[in-house]
Amino acid sequence: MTPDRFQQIDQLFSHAAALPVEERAAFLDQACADAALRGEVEKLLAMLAGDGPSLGERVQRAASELRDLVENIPTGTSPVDGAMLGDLSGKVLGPYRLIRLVGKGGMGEIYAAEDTRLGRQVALKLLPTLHAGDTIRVRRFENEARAASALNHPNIVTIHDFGETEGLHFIASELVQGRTLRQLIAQGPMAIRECLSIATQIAGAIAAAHESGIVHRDIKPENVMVRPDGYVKVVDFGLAKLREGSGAGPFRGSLTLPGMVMGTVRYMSPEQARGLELDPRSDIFSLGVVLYEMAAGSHPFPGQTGADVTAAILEADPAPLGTVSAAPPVQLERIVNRCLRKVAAQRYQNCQELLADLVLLKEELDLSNSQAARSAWRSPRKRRLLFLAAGALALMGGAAAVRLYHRAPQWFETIQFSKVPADADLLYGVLSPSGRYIAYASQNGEGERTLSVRLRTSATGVRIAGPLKAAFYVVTFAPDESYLYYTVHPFALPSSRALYRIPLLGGVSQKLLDGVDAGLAFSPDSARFAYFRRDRSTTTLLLAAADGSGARVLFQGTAEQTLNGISWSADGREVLIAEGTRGRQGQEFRILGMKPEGGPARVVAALGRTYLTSFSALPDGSGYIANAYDTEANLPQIWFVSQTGAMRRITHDLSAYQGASLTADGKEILTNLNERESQLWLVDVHNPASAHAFTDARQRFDQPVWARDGSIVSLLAVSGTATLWVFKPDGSGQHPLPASTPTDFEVRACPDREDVVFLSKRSGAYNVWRQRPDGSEARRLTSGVNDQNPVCLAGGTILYRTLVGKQFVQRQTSLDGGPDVPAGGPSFEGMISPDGSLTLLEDTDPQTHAPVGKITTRDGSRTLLTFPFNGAAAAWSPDSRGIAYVDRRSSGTQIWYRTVAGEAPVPLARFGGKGVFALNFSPDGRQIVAAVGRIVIDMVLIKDLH
Amino acid sequence: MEAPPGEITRLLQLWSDGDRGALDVLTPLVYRELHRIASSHLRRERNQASLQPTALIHEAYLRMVDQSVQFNSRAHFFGIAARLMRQILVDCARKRNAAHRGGGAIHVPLDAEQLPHPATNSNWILELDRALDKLSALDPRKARAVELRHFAGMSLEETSGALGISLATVKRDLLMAETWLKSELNQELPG
Repeated sequence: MTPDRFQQIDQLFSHAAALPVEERAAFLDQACADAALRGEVEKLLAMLAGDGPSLGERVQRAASELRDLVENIPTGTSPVDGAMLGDLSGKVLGPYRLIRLVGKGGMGEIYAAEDTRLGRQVALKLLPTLHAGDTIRVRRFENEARAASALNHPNIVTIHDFGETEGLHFIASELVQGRTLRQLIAQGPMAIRECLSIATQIAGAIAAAHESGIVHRDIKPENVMVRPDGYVKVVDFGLAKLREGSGAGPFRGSLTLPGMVMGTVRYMSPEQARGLELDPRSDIFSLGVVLYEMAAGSHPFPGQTGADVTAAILEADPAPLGTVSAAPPVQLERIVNRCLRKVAAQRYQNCQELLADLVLLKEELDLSNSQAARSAWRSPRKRRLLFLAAGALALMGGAAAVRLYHRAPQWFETIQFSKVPADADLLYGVLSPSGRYIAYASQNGEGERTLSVRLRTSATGVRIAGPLKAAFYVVTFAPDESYLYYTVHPFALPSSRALYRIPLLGGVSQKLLDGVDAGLAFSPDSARFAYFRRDRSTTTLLLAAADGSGARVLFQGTAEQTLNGISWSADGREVLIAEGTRGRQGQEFRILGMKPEGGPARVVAALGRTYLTSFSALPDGSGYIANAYDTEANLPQIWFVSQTGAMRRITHDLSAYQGASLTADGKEILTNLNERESQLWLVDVHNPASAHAFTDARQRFDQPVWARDGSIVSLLAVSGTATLWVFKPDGSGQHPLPASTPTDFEVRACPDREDVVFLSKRSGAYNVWRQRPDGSEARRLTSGVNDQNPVCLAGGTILYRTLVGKQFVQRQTSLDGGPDVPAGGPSFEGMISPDGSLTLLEDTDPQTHAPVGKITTRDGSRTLLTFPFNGAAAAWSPDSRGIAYVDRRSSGTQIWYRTVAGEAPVPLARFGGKGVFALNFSPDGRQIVAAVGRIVIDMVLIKDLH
Repeated sequence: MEAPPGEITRLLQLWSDGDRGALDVLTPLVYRELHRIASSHLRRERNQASLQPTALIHEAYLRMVDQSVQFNSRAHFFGIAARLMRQILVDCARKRNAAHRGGGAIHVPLDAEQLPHPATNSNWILELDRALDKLSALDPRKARAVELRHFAGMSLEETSGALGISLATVKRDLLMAETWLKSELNQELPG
């Protein structure tokens, strides 16, 4: 069916459906001559008669049936050690909120936790209290965490943080979603490719650790996580050594502890089982056991007890892989055997050697058609021939692999970070290919943007375009730096997105073409560029000559696909785009490549769930520099992406980075660091001109309220964690509200009481709490499973919503802990006046669809006032007679006051390009406290020092 | 505070001002939050309540958007959330189906471990998703209206506000869209 056809059906159907049933046939007789069309319409009309659940009900029902999808992960593998902490799920430790226990063992407990500063999930390992007093142990725990956190490898779990909080020692690391290799092995022998893909990743991780002088000592399938996208993460670095140092010999310990330690015995090297000194070659043995197990689906040294297994490790030769597994390549058998030699000196001497052999084999299998190769192995003569062919190819493959593993990670491994001086109104900057020029956009107090160019070393720039009420989404230098290309997207006219270019050495702007939305990237010879055009639901990749002529479609995205960055391959032979598509696990991202002449797209690299916003190819073709989000990190960072899609973060920050322009020599990246700051202002309602800020500029305040006792209570973020703080309206006496936690928010003052009320998870669930600014009377007022929207009205009445079953219902209680009862009557929608009689609602004008504010009686029966209100902060005056509200438009932010009686609005204070995050009245109604701020943007230059 | 509410609010404002880049930043944030809340609800209320997308989106909205700045950004937030909720449900349904198919099943221990009985509703969601895609190709606004109304649980008035069309048009769009989807799903699911 075509959209046109659909529209015809739609028109006839909608018309007919509005008619009484008996008149429909007559209408169709007259309106529709096309019998097929009429059939379609009648089919739909017939559906109207049927009953049954509505679409909405069915969606709800389906959703409810899917709920059992989410189950707690079974806890770990091992017996509970008596010295454990007990389940701390739901507790808050410093910035971490423990969500659930995911594993227990001798080395500690592991929780899935949330870092409340970043909103990201982490794995939090806690040292058991038994060992907390043991200073040597603690020091080792921390030393090892430090060592592991120094390891920067895509296949090693990232350590975010470690230390001590509330008396507990912890290590916070990336929480890996996926299965353990143990779970995969449990399904039986793996396909050879999968086996090699996992093994090379583990070996790469271990090799990196060895180079840093760290021996893992506890390689086993339980310590290898495989993400759904096939990506491998080796976990538990550092903890192995800790356990090793526990005093009891590992072997003797294993006889008494079932389960967990038993598992470890199975992967011990002979020297480890003897309790001898270990070196990296011990890890190679363990890796060999894992490799054997992956390929065979069974263990090389089977045994019923720890003693049996240990005896086998020390004495027995494993059954040849070929006898227990279906036709493994002989090379694999050779690799495994070499890992499993009893004498360390006969094994691979370092992990790089092992890695190289694994990569070689992988390349061979990739090169030879898999089916042909496998059958060829069966025939000795063919095998010999194939060996020769594969050998020649393998040399090339091996060389390529060595380059990949040795050279690629060197990009931006040693970096220097510096801020590039810029004006305060900077939005973002882009570096030219030679690194000499910077093009940058800025925004003035009126919300108008300007595009300028300057020499990197110069303080002043030349204006190219603006000031305009428009965005410059594309700003790109031609590689030869002849022109700067940019787009102008007027805010008021979204359909216009014209591309211009201007000669860098002076001249006038020239409009080239329309319909350019994002990602403009030049071929290395500056002759042509690729760009994205975004339509309603699809994105199209187009190619045009440098003068804008001859634009043609290169790739048409579907509605399912998101297309973001564009880069040309280093050799200029391919146009690469970052593509996301809905996979079985949600959005999955890839780099696609296609010839500029046209033809099908190929998958260049699979990125799993990492979302690239932009990327550029490095000059040696070894990979890319990208601005990207990780599924676990909240904010976009700068990454190195290898040719094959392996990723390494270059920045590790609590701040967001925008863009990443790379110089042609691949040595410098310019990006834009975004940090939020806000301060508190005091506005005198009767003397607006005296409005002033009373806190430091470079802080982060939000949701300030003015309590009855004259103090201000506000959220204040200190080193990333926002808690409630108290101070006087002149900014003095600043101190944390006692007992405040990072879960406190939605603060409200009470009109005639000293207390403030807020939501908090201090007791495990989000409930409404009260507290006085002096810290006293901290009390939980509600006890629902999930409460929200507290309002404190005159007389200490508290209204809130709570989740009952699957619905939020309105309830009412009081500050003094009065009865907590269902609140009947009018809805809580909107912002309720302090006396409880009126509500401020957001609405749209029925004619113009412009956003308006509407003040009505609580029951909604009478509308007292409607006024233009474009959606920002608002607050009721304490006497419920008027509201202060923020009018935010591109011309600047302004606070207004308006009475319910409908008098002319009074302008109070103006904040230019800054935003007002929240505002509230003083108890006497004479003043307003407002959190006013903006995002501070700095250009940052990242230099590769290598 | 899971994500600084002022941050989300600012992004919503930027976006409504026409800054399309803001949407790129917002979407993953909202997705994560929805998913997080969905998971925690499901764990917490295993024995008493069911997942209600509408309630989840409201909760995410309350958590993520500064409540004193709730007005205009609401429609934008719900617009994003509606699409994401559809995606979450589809992802869940796919996981579930994959798990029931056995070998090669996708496995996310942090979300799902054991999966009891097979479900016709999870298939239905996938069928609906496919039909909605089809509808989207024919008439994107109608598909969007269905998302807002049934995945985000917006009222008719809110839906009209979010789409910038009159209430009468929303009603007309929804009647056509729902009827068409129903006939489409009947075709695809005989019996």
